[in-house]
Amino acid sequence: MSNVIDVNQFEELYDHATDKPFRSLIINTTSGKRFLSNLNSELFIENADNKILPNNK
Amino acid sequence: MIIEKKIEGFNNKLKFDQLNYPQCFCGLCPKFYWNMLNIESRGSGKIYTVCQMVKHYEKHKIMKDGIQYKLRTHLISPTIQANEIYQSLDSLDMEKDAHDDYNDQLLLGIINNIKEEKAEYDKFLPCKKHFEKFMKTPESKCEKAYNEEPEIFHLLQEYEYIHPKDFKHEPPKVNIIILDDLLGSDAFTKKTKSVLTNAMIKNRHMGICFAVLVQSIRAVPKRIRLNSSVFQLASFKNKK
Repeated sequence: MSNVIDVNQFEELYDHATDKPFRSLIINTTSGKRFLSNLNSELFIENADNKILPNNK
Repeated sequence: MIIEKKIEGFNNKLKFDQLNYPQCFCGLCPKFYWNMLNIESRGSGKIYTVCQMVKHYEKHKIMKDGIQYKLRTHLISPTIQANEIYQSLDSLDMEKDAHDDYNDQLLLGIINNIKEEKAEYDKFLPCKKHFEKFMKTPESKCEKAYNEEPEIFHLLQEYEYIHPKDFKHEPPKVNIIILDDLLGSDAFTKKTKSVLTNAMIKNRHMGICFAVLVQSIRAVPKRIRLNSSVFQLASFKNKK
């Protein structure tokens, strides 16, 4: 993952995805790098300029 | 400041056929062929997620070159009886493809079965082309054709010269092998010739997806972790 996000961003994604019971962070690297919270919602990271980072192009 | 200058002679565009695997065309699910690591503590829902994913593939068409591929799920888990959720999978034959005790021979048996199915279909594929060529060959030139390419006649003879259209031949299935709760078994041996590790490295060539469900990522050998393309991480208090 380190080529697309740093440790802090990963922790942010992980904490967000696992903040409720029976939730988990799913990382799919088969088509780019996609981050999901369980299978039914995709997570995106916005930076200060409201641009989505390259991992979720 | 760094200055970058282009060097001539390294701009050749490489032309090649990209590998083409059967895919679910929803465009949202992981693309075949993946290896998945599900790392969660007991009772946090990892089996549910894996079953949901398999169910997704069951409900959507898996296609390649206009041909639909079926899904076959295998399960190796010492706790099958305690997890009735597996019975919800249509692609899992609980009598034939569910096993409660892992050993290398079992995995090799499953893999060989998958390889045989694939080899049989790969052998059948050129049949149509060969049959058309054979039908166009006049009887007087058959002997010459046989001398030039005897393997064509051997193959057609094997299929009793039946027209490929009349020959029922299903494409090999897309296989998902679920390895559940196998910590402490021979599966995660650190030996260099581990059957599971080698199978997971070559999974794409064999047409197999592996879903490894464990409670601790450190118990999984590094080579398996490096060859995984989908990860599921549940909540752990200790983030290390």
